[in-house]
Amino acid sequence: MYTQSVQALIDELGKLPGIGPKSAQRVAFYLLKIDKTDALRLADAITLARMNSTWCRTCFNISDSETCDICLDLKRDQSTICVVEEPKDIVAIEKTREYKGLYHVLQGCLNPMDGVGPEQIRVRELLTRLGNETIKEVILCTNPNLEGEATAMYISRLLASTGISVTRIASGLPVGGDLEYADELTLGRALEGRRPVGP
Amino acid sequence: MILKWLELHNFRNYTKLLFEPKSAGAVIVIGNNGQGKTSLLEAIDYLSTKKSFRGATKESMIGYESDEAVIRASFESSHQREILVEASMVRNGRDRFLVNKQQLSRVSDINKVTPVTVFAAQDIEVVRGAPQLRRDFLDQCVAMLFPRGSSIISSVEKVLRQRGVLLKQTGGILTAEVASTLEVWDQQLSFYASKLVELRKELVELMTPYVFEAYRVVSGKDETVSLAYKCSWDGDLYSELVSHRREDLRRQTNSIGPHRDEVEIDLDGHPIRHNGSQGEQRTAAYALKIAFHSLYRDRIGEDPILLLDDVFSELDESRGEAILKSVSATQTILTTTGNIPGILEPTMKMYVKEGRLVDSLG
Repeated sequence: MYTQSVQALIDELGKLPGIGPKSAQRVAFYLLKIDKTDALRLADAITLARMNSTWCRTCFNISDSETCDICLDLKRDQSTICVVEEPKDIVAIEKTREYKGLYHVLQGCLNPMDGVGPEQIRVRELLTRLGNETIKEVILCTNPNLEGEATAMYISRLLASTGISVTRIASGLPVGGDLEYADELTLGRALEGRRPVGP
Repeated sequence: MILKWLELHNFRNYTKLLFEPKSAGAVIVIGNNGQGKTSLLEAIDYLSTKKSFRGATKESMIGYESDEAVIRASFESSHQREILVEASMVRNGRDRFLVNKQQLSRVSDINKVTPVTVFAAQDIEVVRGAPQLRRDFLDQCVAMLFPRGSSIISSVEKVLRQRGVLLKQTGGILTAEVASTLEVWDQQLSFYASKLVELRKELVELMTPYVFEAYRVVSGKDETVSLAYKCSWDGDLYSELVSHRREDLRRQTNSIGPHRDEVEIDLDGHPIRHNGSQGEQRTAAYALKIAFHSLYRDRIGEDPILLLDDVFSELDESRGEAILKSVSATQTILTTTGNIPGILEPTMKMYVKEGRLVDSLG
């Protein structure tokens, strides 16, 4: 129905996460309609980002050099590592400006159904790092779902004998929200994780 | 809970139907076999469970010459709250389910919105069939009664699936690597499983006096029904999982856990599943339904709509009447091919013929 090149474009777009065949078709036609220079700028951006990006050798964040900017920044607390699943989680935590330590990106979480075991995530690299650097605390910042919890538990067990303090982020109610809108699971977790107030 | 009106489009043999029970009381739907009596109840129940109580697939619920079936209904809760539920099943697409025009955050919350109790001929399988059926019944009740029930049930299912896949991936060999990964899933499983078992046991305990009472009333005999929850392990689940590890690896399945538990139903101390007569098993099945219906009403303060699918043809008249007496509901909708128990005073009678409501069968 389409010319070969257009069909190829639709097929490639359709492979992207969250984009189905209909959306791929819509995006493709949009790209054919816009200015040639705009379309080529997108193509260049993809090429450039893909060619220049690599994984940071230390923390496995996305980086445009062997070591990422965060790992190079000596002003950051060099004794704390925050373990996350994906590079986008670093972006989320950085936005808070609350955390000044280092990161470690696992690039996944334990999920046997997707064929992901300890070998497929960067746990071994984390252990190597902990052996080489002087780390006092590891914060486990994996997602608060079944697989994220399992991953956090797995790492905490590996680190149990190292003497490093291992912590897990709290889960509970969103700030500024209403209790009545919280689902039972979240509210239940928040109740479990309650803490004393007052002087 | 009351069903005010129900609208069907291309649902099974109903091309278009408006059914208006309107008020509280008993509505009788009369028709010959194959005319659509059960389908009517199935549609009402679908709005409560998003499933067919006959176990039918959605394809079989969509009318032959159509690609989409629509069920819409208005309910009124005991607090006079109007609830509009709309469901559509699409042959090759995504189904929709809206409550007061809003999507529910979790599908499993549906049965808390418009609860119904269905009595149907196949209920007897819960008593005499495989343990899975009793666990499913129990979990369905757990999800309706306890706020955290449905999320715990789905967590257990998910962990079991992950652990099962992991066991297969290992190829049956217990290396240190395998042990350390299994450990994590064992811990997750024991955490959620013990919560689920706690809820199931609490439910069994809450239901026992209701079942005891309901069985006596329906059977009219001085017999004792008791329920016992049988765990597939003793003591702490985590340490049991550790000691079953080799067996689990060899068989590459989850050999213990809440998915292997059993609810034993005894009549005068003997398992009714093996020793009971068909009549006793059927009575026990209805006693379970009556028990949960009453328990739900007492705890939640809302009584489910009672749907009776041709139950009187399966029971002698005295047992049928006893069921009607022992289960009180604001609204009852029952189907029959003709015989109506004498004690029933219907507020409304309807006739169904070839997917239409008619004034008489003549």
